[in-house]
Order: sequence, then structure tokens, then C-alpha cells
Amino acid sequence: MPDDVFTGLVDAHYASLYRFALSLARSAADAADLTQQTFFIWATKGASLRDAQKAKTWLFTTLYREFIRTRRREGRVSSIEDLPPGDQDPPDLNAEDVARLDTQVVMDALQEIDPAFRAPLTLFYLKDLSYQEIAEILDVPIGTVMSRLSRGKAHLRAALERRMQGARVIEFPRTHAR
Amino acid sequence: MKHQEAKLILRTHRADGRYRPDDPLFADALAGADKDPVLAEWLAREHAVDAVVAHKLDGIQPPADLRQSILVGARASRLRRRGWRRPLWLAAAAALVIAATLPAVIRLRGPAAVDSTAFGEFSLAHLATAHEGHAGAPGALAIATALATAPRPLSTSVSLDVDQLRTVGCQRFDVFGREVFEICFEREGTWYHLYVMRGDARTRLARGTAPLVLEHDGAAAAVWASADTVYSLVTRSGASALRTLL
Repeated sequence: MPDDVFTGLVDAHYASLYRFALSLARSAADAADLTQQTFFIWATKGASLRDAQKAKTWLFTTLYREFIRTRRREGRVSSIEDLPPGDQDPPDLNAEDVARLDTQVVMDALQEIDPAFRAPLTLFYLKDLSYQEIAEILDVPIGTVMSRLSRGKAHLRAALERRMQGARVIEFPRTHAR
Repeated sequence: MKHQEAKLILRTHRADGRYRPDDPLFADALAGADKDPVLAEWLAREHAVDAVVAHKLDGIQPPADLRQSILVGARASRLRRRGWRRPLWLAAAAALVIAATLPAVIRLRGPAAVDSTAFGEFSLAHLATAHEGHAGAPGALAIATALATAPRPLSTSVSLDVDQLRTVGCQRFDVFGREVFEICFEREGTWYHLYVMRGDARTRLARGTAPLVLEHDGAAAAVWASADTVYSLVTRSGASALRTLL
């Protein structure tokens, strides 16, 4: 693959891949390593991919697999059955309240969710991937993606609500000095 | 469709309507929202919150040097693969040449004393006879990137830990009865190769003195010692290219 084509591929996807990696790895250094490793694998294997339009899905799939491989090595994989189901009717949030939260606070809330839900949720919010592409990246049926998205969003709403409550100023009743 | 069931489905719906799965359930739930103002209002709020979260995520910027690290790392990997495509006989010949020439070049045999000249000549011989391209293990790329941007002179700004080089998977050789590690990096269009080994009582290298420069057949090496580590910086671009970094 010519250098300019590879550079174009990096420019098109590295920021989104980094954001996905950051939501998974929860550390900027690990996210950068994951992103770099993904392109390193592309340079050694992925360049032979014939369908150039599949490059984006290939990169996200590779990053996710690398993350899962690392977690397995560290023995930090939980079974989806062990996870809480998510509130059927999560808190109804106001967009303006969420907008007032720092980006880092929103990211913390997202990172609090188990990776099984966090991965489809982040891909959903990155916006440039279809549901079908998310299913391919995570290697699960599309119905599973929808189910995990719904549960993941319920978890995220609850996590955001907790942070908003924590951020609210609690006004103590005034006492009058005698 | 019940209100609660419709919410469960619509919670995964994207505001822009793009990329909907081919599922009539979405159409049914959206039709339900059209007829139910409470559900429609709830869906609008959901979409608004989603837009805010997506905007927050979109605002996260990757580290400033990540793009450059990716490009440098990938270039190194491609050069390495080209190296491996060389015919087997060439690799075998290179191995024979280095085995035959190293004892003469190094002058010192066994895990004995090493001086600057010996270490410099080893690195020149390795680059000339047995180098397989600019190898770079993924973990070593961060070090290569740091070297590509480290302040001049490298002989005072670079401080590497041999244990770390081993851990991240840098290319390793056993020479002089010691471990020698190699990191390849590109700087301003020129490739450099830094050979690193731990110094000990038997490495006769003066610390804190100016690097010793050796030249051979257009290539050049500069050797220096710092703390308990010994470095040899080599390039095929000659002594002038080395002096720009030292």
C-alpha cells in the first residue's frame, strides 16, 4: 500500500479508533497503544485486504480483538450472564444537564459500564458505523447488538444521573444566630 | 405495541434515522411514537441526550504525537517485511560473513573487556553484514519515536534502561557475553540504529567524555557511555549525519 494511501487511512480513522480504545481501556496511554498496535497489525496484515471499503470495520474489529485478548491475558473477562440487567425504565435525563457535565465526567460514566455494553454503546455514539458494522466488529448477531445497546444506555443514564446528583449543590437550611 | 416495549426498542434508535437495521419492529415503534405524544416527547429527549453524549465523545482529542507514532511504526514494519523477503541464501551468507568477520573486527573474544572501538566496530559490522531492515517490535516503537524527537545532543539527552528494552521486545544480540539491544529510528529522513548494552567493570569506556566516532565504507558509528549504559549510534549516511545529532 502506498504511503499516501496509508496516511489517508490513518487520518480518516485514528481519532475515532482512539476514542473507542479510550472507552475500552480507560487509560490514555493504553488507548494510544491499542490504536498504534491496530495500525501496526494493518501494516503487516491488513494491507492485503481486497475490499478497501471494509478497512474501517477491519480496523475497529482488530482493535476490539486486541483489547479482548489483553483482558483475557489479565483474566478480567466477565460473563454477560453475570452482569446486571439494567433498569427497565432508567432515569429520564435532560440534555442540557448532561451538556453541563465535563467531557471527562461523561467519559467516566461511560467507562463505568461493563465492556460488553460499553463497546456497542461507544460505537453507537461514534455515529459513523451502522448497526450491521457494529455487529461485525463485536462478532455478535445484530439482535444482540440492539439488546446490549438498550441495556448499555440504561446503565449509562443511571451512571450519568448519579454524577449529576453528586454535582448538585445541596443547600443547607439556614440557621439564625442568636 | 405497549409503551414500555416501544421505549425499549426506540432507545437504540438514532436521531438521524440512518443505519436502521432492516427490522419492522423499528417501524412499528416509530409509528407508535407518531400516535403517542408522550412517547414522541420521550424519544425527542432521548435523541437530545444521545446527541450531547456523542458530541462529548467527539470532542476527545487523541494525544498530539499519536498520528506520527502510528506512521513511523507502520513504516518500520513495512521495511522489516521487505527485509524478510530477501532470498534465504543471502541471509545464510550474511550470517556466515558476520560469524567470520566479527572476531577479527572486535579483536576481543569472549565475555571479556570491551572498549569503545570494539563496540563501535561491532555495530558497524552488524549494520553492514547482517542487518535485516529497520526492525521494530510494537512495544519498541514508542522508544523509536522518542529517539526521533529527543533533543540534541542525544549523547546527553538519551537515557535508556536495558531491562526496559528487553521487556518491550527490542531486537537483541548476544555479543561480548552481554546482551546488546538495537532500536532503529528515522530522523529528518535519515535512518539511525542505536545499539545499547549495560556497562560494567569490564567495559572500558570513559563516561562523560565526547563520543568516539568511527567510519567504515561510508557508514559511521559514535560510541559513548552514560551512567551504567553504553550506546553506539550508527548510520549509513556517514559521520556528518551523526554529528547533527551529537
